[in-house]
Amino acid sequence: MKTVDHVQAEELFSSYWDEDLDPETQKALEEHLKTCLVCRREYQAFETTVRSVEGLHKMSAPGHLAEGVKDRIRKRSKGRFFAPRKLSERVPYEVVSLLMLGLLLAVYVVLQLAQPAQLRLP
Amino acid sequence: MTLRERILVERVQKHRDEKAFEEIMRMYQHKVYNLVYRMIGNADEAEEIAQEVFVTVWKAIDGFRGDAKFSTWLYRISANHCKNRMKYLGRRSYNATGELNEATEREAASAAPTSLRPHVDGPEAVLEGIELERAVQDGIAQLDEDHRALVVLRDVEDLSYEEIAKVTGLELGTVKSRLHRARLQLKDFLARLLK
Repeated sequence: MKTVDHVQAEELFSSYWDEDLDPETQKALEEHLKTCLVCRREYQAFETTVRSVEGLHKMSAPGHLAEGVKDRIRKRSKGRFFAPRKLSERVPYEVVSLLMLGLLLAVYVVLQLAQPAQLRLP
Repeated sequence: MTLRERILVERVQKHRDEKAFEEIMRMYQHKVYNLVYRMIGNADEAEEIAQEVFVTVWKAIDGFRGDAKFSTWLYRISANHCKNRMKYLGRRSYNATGELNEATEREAASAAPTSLRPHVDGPEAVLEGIELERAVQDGIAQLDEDHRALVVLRDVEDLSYEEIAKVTGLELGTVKSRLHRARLQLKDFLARLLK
């Protein structure tokens, strides 16, 4: 049966944690950890360390990161890429059409109100 | 690589499609930022570097041949940017006070509980969580660039050994042995801190 000593045991901690050991070596390490208090404590410290790193919460990118990237590309490409969008690209055509219709209606109403009242012919 | 990723990448490569690139950024910005932050340990530096990563992606995307995952290629760019920055800044890249900045502390406090956090949520428990996070981040910061990258890629980003080998260009055996050394260093650091 395969056995491991203290030095070998420590060398196997990562592979054991990552489930990357062949069954025979894994069994040998587990047997050693059962009987060796020092190695068992070392492995527990190792395990706690790796769990701590795995447990670091995931940082979120700041909300303006993408805008910052586009700014950089725009500056370095001298405006060739990610140039500010024209008004016609930012505002939908439907909205522009409605606004124009509204404006025309307003002009018509104003002109109608501005005309003097017409006399009715008998 | 998913079909969606392939389509987006091709649109950027062939047409310099800005909308496609924006979607790529939306898909990956948190992963990139998290990796960079954990390697550098400073939010302002991390934001600067994460932006530069995506600028590099825009400039170099024609060089992505599609034979590996897009995320692997992206991680490689991110790790290289971090290493270059670390060499420039020195081994530790914290602000002058060596503290996590306010935004980071708020994030840490409001993050979902981890297995190491106390179960009772109160001000003391939140403080313990922040201090543990700070200790671990300090430990990562005292590793050299190569070891730091391996710990972050494996234990933070959960990449497989094979993916890490592709990201770093190291042999598989070298990845495993260096990762082990890095973890042992981290263990010893935390043990000294807790004494």
